[in-house]
Amino acid sequence: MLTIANTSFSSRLLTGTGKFSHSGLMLDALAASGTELVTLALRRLDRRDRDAIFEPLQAAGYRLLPNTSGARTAEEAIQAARLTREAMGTPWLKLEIHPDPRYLLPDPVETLKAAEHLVRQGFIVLPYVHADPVLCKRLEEAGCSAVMPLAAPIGSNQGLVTASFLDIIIEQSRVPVIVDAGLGAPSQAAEAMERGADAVLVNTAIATAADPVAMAAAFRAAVDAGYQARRAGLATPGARATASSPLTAFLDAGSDAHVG
Amino acid sequence: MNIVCNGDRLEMAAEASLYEAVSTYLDAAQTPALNGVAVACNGEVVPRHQWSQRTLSDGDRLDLFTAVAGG
Repeated sequence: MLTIANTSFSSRLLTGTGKFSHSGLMLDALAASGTELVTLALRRLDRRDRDAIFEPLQAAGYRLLPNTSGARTAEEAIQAARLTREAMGTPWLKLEIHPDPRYLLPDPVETLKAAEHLVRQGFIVLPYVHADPVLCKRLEEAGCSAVMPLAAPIGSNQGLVTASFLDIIIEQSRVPVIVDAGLGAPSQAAEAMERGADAVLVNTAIATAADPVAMAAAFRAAVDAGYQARRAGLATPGARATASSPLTAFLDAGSDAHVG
Repeated sequence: MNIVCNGDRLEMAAEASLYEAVSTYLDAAQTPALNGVAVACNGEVVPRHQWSQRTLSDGDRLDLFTAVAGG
């Protein structure tokens, strides 16, 4: 079981709700993914174009993880957090502060500042950060309930670009490590889990697949496979071959020889 | 009195509550559901349970926010 802030989850796949072509497809894909924790965003209300997403997700029983996407400073993120807590009735928060619209890379200074403040205000803070082991440690010390280091820039589908730094974060962290952003294929999610991530968050790779429901099921299976492989203990890679079959049997006996 | 709600001017009776203003604003577009909505009055977030008691003054600025899809 994955436990974040004393809450247990059977699924280690968190999913975003963005970029789906319509909300019915999004709900079907979430169901196929087996996810229990889904992210949402907050925007200024447009009364001519209400996005009816909150109630269906709530009715389906998902735990909601609102984000602070759009915030460029700690101050803006704190205001966004107050609003999401009121709008969605949850203190859970994916803290994300990315001032640069080109690469959407998170601002570490503002994120730490906001995290320290929000933890004191009773929020369950899960910060989206670069794969920086020192920063992740500082956020853990500040009282964050998990850390969410990126694999690659949001929506880039590049996979585990930050792999060796994720390894350090995973080794050092005492809170769950959720690899977020950039995972483009189920194999990459499986590898993140094999490396010891506690969970992954996937949005774009599912939402923009030709068949999002089938892709959600594929990610579900991959996350499960990677987690089981990690628990089973992976064999060590080596430069030389080591025989899996007894090589001498063919030469010695003649009768019961087997190869392969 | 006049208030400003998400940039639109809204004419309300004197001492109308925040709840009345929000309902008026949303009813105009036949979207009365207030679930998943947060409101700030002059920049200060007002908890949902205070919406009915909170009386507005002329010139108050309301900002309404809502849950949308996101990653």
